Amino acid sequence: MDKWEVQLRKGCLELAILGTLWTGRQYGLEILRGLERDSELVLSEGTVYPLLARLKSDGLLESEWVEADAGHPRKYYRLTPGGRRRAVRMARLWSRFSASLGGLLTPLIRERTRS
Amino acid sequence: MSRPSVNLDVERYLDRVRASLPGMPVPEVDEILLELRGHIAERMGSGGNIESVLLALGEPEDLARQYKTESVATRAECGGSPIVILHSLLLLRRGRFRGWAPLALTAFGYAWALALVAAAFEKILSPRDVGLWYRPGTVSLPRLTVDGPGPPGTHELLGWWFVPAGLLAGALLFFLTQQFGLWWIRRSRGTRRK
Repeated sequence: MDKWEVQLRKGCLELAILGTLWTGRQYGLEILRGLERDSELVLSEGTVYPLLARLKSDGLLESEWVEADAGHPRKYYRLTPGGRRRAVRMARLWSRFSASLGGLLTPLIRERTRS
Repeated sequence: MSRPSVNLDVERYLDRVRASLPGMPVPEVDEILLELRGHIAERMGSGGNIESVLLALGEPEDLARQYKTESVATRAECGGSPIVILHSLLLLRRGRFRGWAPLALTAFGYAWALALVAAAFEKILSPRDVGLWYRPGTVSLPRLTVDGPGPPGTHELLGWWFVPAGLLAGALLFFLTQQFGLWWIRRSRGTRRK
């Protein structure tokens, strides 16, 4: 995996986490499993927890500890109203950006398929 | 691998994370470790072995560095006081040398800003002892004194204008130093995520 791809994945991780939490609260490992299942963004599990902590500090997420049957408490995260606004803004921006870039890159992708 | 041995590996890993988070508030560190402990236990409960679980989390020092960067950067950007910014720069420096220069420069900037404001107030209290002095007919830089009149043959440059000029220069230097400190912190955060 080249450096550019690593950067791209990491840059998108914040949006992916906000997207994962869109439907409701989840705890760290649940978020990780969702990201592993639905995206190829997670490079190291260690990158997700510090990012969750930062999103919480930024006021985009809030968290609560919940006692679980697993024998240890789980830290659940949910989007704050500010986090929901930010997620929508980022998703729209991403959609616009990828659509315009997609048009530009279509000839390159066709070329790759041909060769 | 036996259960005590697994527990020992987990505790060693978490101890290394804790040891790499000096300066971070203890409740914050405790919460980080509690969350990581839960993650490790649950990954192992679903069939993972301790080596692969810890490997997936990464080196404890790298993990701690990411937490530290996110935490101090956010605090500095939200709080913004000189103490918080200097503390953040202290925590974000890398290795023995890298990061010391911005820390020293920021501390120097704050010190000079404070000195200029203090000199402006001192001018009000002891007008003859504080001022910018120049020697007519020369091209040398004016000399700042705060503990007595300038050398013989020199004239004071600003007079009472020293007070607003000192306050303005101090405030401007404070602002520029603050912006530089925050810029470096944001830059460090961006670099660390790479």
